[in-house]
Amino acid sequence: MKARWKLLTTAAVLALSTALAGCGGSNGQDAAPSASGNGQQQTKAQDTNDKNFTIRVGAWFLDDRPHMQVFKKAVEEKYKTLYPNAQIQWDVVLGSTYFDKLRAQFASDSAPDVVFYQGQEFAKSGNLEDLSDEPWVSRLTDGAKMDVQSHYNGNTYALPMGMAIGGGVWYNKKIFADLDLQPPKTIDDWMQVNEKVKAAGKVPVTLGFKDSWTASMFLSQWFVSMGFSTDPQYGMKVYNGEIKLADDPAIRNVMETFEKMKKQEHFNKNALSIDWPQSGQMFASGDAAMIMQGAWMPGTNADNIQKGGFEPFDIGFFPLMDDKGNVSIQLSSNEAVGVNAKSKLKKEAKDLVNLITNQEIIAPFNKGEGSLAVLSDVTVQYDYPVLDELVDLVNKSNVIPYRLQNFIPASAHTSLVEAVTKVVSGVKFDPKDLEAAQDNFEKDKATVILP
Amino acid sequence: MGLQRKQYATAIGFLAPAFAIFFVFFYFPFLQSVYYSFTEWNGLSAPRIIGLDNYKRLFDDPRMIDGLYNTLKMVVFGLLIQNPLALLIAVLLNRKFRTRAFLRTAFYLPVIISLVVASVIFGQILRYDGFVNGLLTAVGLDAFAVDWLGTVKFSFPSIIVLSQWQAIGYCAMIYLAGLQSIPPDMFEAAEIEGARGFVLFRHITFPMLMPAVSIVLFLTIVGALRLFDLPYLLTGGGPGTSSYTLFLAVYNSAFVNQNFGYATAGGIMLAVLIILVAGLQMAITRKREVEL
Repeated sequence: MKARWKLLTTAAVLALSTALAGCGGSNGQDAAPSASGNGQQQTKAQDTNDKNFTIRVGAWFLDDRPHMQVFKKAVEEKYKTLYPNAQIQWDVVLGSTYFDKLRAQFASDSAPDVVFYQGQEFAKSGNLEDLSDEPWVSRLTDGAKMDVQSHYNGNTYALPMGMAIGGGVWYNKKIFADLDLQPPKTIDDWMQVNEKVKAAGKVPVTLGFKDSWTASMFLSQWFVSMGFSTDPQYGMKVYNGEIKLADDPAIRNVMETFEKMKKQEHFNKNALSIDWPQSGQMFASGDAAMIMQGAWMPGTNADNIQKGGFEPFDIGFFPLMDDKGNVSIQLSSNEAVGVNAKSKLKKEAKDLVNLITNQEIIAPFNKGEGSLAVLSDVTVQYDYPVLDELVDLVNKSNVIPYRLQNFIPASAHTSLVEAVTKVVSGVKFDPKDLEAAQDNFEKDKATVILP
Repeated sequence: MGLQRKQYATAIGFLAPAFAIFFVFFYFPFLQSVYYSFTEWNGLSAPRIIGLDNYKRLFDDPRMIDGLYNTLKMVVFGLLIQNPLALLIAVLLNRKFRTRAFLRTAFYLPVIISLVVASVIFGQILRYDGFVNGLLTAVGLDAFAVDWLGTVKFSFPSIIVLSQWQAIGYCAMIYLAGLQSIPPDMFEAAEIEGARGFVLFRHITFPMLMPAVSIVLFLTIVGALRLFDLPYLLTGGGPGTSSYTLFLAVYNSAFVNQNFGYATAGGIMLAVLIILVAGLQMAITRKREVEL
């Protein structure tokens, strides 16, 4: 019995030592992602840069566009110089599904170590690490310091990847020159321009509202000029209930202008059944004279022209305006990159964010996206003259860092977008349609995170 | 240990793994969702209990109301048009004629095609500059050309028609299987008694087909109540809220408006509605089933 006990003890000790040796044996090999999803195993070389680990980076926009591929490659190469044995795992889910996944990942403690995101809720809910003490924070431009989604409660939670206009109208300079047209300054001007374009057999403004974000963008950017340009406190007044969504003249004006444009056939007839890429094609082909889109349009249009074999043309830009020609431009980051507060690789993740701030990594990204540099020591050389014109326009304009969506709940904004799509489908604008937005505003007001 | 207790222990042993899986992946999340349905929750911050507010809100939310109307339209269409049409096709396909095998395959083929693929194709066919309007223009009916999925009036009717492309063939095949399971001697005996045509169908075929009718009605009603994919892929519920269904309204509440507590309440109410309606339908049709 005693001999048997000894044998068992010896076997147990051997088994334990074998298991421990097995753990140690992972040193020097690439670590597989852990079950927790934070994706890395610490090695004995804990505090040195030659340790093996896999760091996960989550994003929704890193597609096959050339400047995105250049960005990924540059980050990987630069990170190798910092951590020679590290691997970057790009967790890319294109489109809005990414954010649904990200929520679930944060809820289950399996979010990537480095997180690209939009919105303030991730910072507010404590999912992101406070990066206020990072070296690049002091390099942020004044505009970037005001960026809503990368800052919360006075702290910096993310590096804004570039300051971009919320959107505006891009026009075909050749069509405008052929028809002797000038970029409109007021809504009346715009209607006259549209009539002349229509008379020339072209679609004045192409919409791709099958992608509802395009309707959302058009609407929210028009509110920026219609609402904020004459009253900087417009958003807060809506939030405080001084202005009601259901009977606000600015919102009604936007809806009625959409209605007028639809009635006068200023939009493409398939506006609700084509998506954003198809509307981009319509613009690139020269069938449509204008498109309302974001700052990525010059690069995307050049790409569309090349792929579609269309005749090249220069494009121009004008912002959405109100009746009197008042204009405000919303400038904010489209993408922000932060660090998962529960990452086991916080230092490594912060280093990754830090290296993105290098001129050779972030400047080509800004160039491709048509966004402005967020760091005072970074300069961006754009390929398209219109982007330089846009920078000049931004410098001369009334710039605001937020839009109406920052002051109302998502459900209320969705109701406004639904009201617009209804009008663009040909239904007469009914002010009662705005009551749903007001109703949702009152019910979900507590979910608003004020900028 | 008595035999009965041994049998209990064995039964528990066999049931335990399945129960554990069901508990972890179904019962527990369901109980959690009941809790979340009483909260205001965006999926990230801590949920805040708001009592019955989410349930009250369901009854005055335009998306839910439009979704309910559209869902009911779909149910009614399924019962009054899809179901009789599927039965008619099944009766015709049950006859002997030369192209029978080809037609049976043709009617069933849509079922095996991915709805996502079908949606993309139908989206192209129905857009303003698509095939349908091209056809209308070619025959001089261009005045009737509209953006079928982009107008309030036609978006949901178009979705209903598209849903039939798959549903009718599927239901027809179930009816066909039911028809083929009726013993031929039943028909022979009825014919000897003088039954012919519609009388034969009404008094012999239809009563003998009731099990298949129960199944088809169940699938039709439940399918209509949980219609999601077509409006999600083709219109997103628009223009406005014109092509919302209940299921899509619940989905958008969660994943567009980030109102997960409210969406959960909607999901629970939808589940209750499906159980009630399906239970009622089964109770009615089961009574009429004939056993041989």
